[in-house]
Amino acid sequence: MSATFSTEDVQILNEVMAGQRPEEIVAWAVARFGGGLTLASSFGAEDMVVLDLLLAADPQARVFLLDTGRLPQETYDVIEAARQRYGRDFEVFVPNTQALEALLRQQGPNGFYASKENRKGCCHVRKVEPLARALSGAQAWLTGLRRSQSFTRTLLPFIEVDEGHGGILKLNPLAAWSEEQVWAYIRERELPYNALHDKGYPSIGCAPCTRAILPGEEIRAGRWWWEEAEHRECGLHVKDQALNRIQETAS
Amino acid sequence: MSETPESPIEIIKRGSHHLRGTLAEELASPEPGFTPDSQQLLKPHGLYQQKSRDKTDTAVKGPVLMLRGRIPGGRLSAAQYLAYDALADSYGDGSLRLTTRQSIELHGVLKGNVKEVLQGIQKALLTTQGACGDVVRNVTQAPNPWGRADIAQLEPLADRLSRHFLATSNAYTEIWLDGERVNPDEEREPIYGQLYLPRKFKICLTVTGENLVDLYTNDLGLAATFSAGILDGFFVFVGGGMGMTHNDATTFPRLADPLGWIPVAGLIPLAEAVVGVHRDFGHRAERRHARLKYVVQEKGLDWLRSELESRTSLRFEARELPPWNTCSVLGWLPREGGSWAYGLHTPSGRVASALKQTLRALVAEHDLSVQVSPDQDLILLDIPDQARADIEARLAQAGAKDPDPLERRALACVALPLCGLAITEAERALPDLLSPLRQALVKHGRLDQAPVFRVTGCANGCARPYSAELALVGQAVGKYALYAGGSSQGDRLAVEIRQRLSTTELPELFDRLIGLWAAQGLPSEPFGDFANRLGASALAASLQEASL
Repeated sequence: MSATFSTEDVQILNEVMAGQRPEEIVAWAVARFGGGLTLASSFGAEDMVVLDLLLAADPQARVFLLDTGRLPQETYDVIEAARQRYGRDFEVFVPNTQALEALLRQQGPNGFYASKENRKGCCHVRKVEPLARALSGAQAWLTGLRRSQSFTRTLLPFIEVDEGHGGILKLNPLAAWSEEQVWAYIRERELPYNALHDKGYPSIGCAPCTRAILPGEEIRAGRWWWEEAEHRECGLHVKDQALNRIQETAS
Repeated sequence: MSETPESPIEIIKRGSHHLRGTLAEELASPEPGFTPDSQQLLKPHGLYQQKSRDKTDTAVKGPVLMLRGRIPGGRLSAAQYLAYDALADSYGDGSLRLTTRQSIELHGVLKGNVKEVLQGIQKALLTTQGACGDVVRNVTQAPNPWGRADIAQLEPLADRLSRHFLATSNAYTEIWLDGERVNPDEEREPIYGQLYLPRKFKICLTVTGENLVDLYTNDLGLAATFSAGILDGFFVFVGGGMGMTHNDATTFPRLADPLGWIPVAGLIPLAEAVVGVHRDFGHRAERRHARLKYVVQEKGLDWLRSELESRTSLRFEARELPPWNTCSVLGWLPREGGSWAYGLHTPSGRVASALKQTLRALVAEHDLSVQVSPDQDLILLDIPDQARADIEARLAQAGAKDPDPLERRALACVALPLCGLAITEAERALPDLLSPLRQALVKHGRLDQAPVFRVTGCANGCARPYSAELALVGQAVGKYALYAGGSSQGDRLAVEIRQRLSTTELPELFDRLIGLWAAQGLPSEPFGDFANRLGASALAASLQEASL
């Protein structure tokens, strides 16, 4: 399926979205894409906000989660709490059985600590490939990404063409929000949230690859903490051009 | 200027070998659509790749093409209209869309059928070349349901301008019409050069006093004068354009400026000089600053006048411009020579289902030529007196209704679900937006003087909201900026009164606005003039007070 939004369209839409609130961006996405819109939710704090905004605009909206098989118990708890709160279920995508069996045989159960290549291989089997499957046929997907989450996300637009997923649109309605705004929303609406957030985990992925951060550390410092900062993306949101630009600017 | 980088589209044009790119190869491939670069190159061929994004639309998945005709003045013979009608059924979505530039669009054409459609259009002695993209677009012209001899003199000139600014590249013929190949290295584009224009360029022709074409919204507007009934010259207006971006004050709608009068012999040299100024000075780095209006705004009228005079042997003569009017082209109108015209109001230019079938039958049986109006209506021409009753009865049976004074000149752009830039609804919501306005007009006894009302789904202004008396411009889903104060003659800009109005606020707001006009307007003062006289801040303040 080819791109239906030109670079110019996307640039103009980003300028328009810069003046809009997250709920307006989500409402636009629902009006525009209907059943072609989906939310990939990790059930982290930001994704709880986007989930709430999306289901307010369209209670039947497509929402899916990637169950990597190594998620912390607290994540499963908040998924269940969300199922209760919204009275609905969510699509679940799990790793391909054969690929997972091969990975475990080759790397062993904790091979991802051994090298960056191993870690990326594990992310690929558990997250990247299932995401590609989940997004096939979608016209646009929502994320809870924010610019202030990390060094690698400082140039994050509201709307981008996701070339890695067949040129569909990727929408980041919370791009301009601060962490405080996210938590104010969660408290005001009394949304369920992942209990690990209260234990110093701002960003939560798989259990073995997530740790708490220290005061003053970057938000995503607890993800793959043994690797260099610029590599700390699982591959769901890597955009080569943006990364290159950030690195050029930084150097 | 040469220091600034080119926008990506400039780079695509530069490497395209006169608009060829890889269109021919991609057309032959089994892929359902064209690549992103090629989608840009489709435009100067009159094609847009789109995808129906309506959630309820499951009939067509994947990319489809929109085709837009190049139809100077919107004039079609019966055979030409019937060709479009048949192509829409065979290869499109079964409907025709009449545009505000007097063209016809076919929607929902599959890539595998596009050659058949373009060859069908060619057989009808028409083209889609240059209907979109960075070239001179379809030349519009005052509609002429009355068969007026003065307006009729515009026809050959509109045709000549349209031909003159057609790209000379053989690409269209080669790719779509199986024409013989020409070596692009041996081709020349004497007017456009290899980069073509920085952005679209719109030309319109009218006669002085008649502004249904919305002359001031064009890059180049020409208003003809007559001496002893013979067209002898033009008032020249340069630098209009509607597009802007919310939150970006460096973009703005702008009305064309009058430069003066030139004799008729200067028409082609003058038009070429204005297009040349756009080609040479237009900003190629940023698409949204690339229209001619930004050059005119930055460099000023004195510079423009002398630049145009030095490119031609012309001198602009100062003359007094007669006042404008906008005569309705709807309903039954007698034509010079004893026949009749019927102006059929087609809401948002849609011609589909029963109405489309009836029009096809009427045009075929009575051999009617037609003209598309700049308000997206269809004018049936040369109707013999004895056919009137039959035509009226059959149109009514097909569901054609007499528009009320508010509907007559209401415009809305396509917006959701088809337009890539739409933020919110326009065409589909038009009836729901008209209804609270109509209620307010009826309540205050002003329906007969209903303002020119227009709605767009984003700030780009395709339905010309910024020259309307009252307009809604989409800012977010279900939220609109309110503009007011243009004139019914289209010679004044509307200004923003309120931001981010939600549709639920409209009934009360329209009630106050129209109530204010009814209470404080001068006798027979049109709404736009009243709003302009009060001014944006006073009007906004009055509305605020009224709400306390």
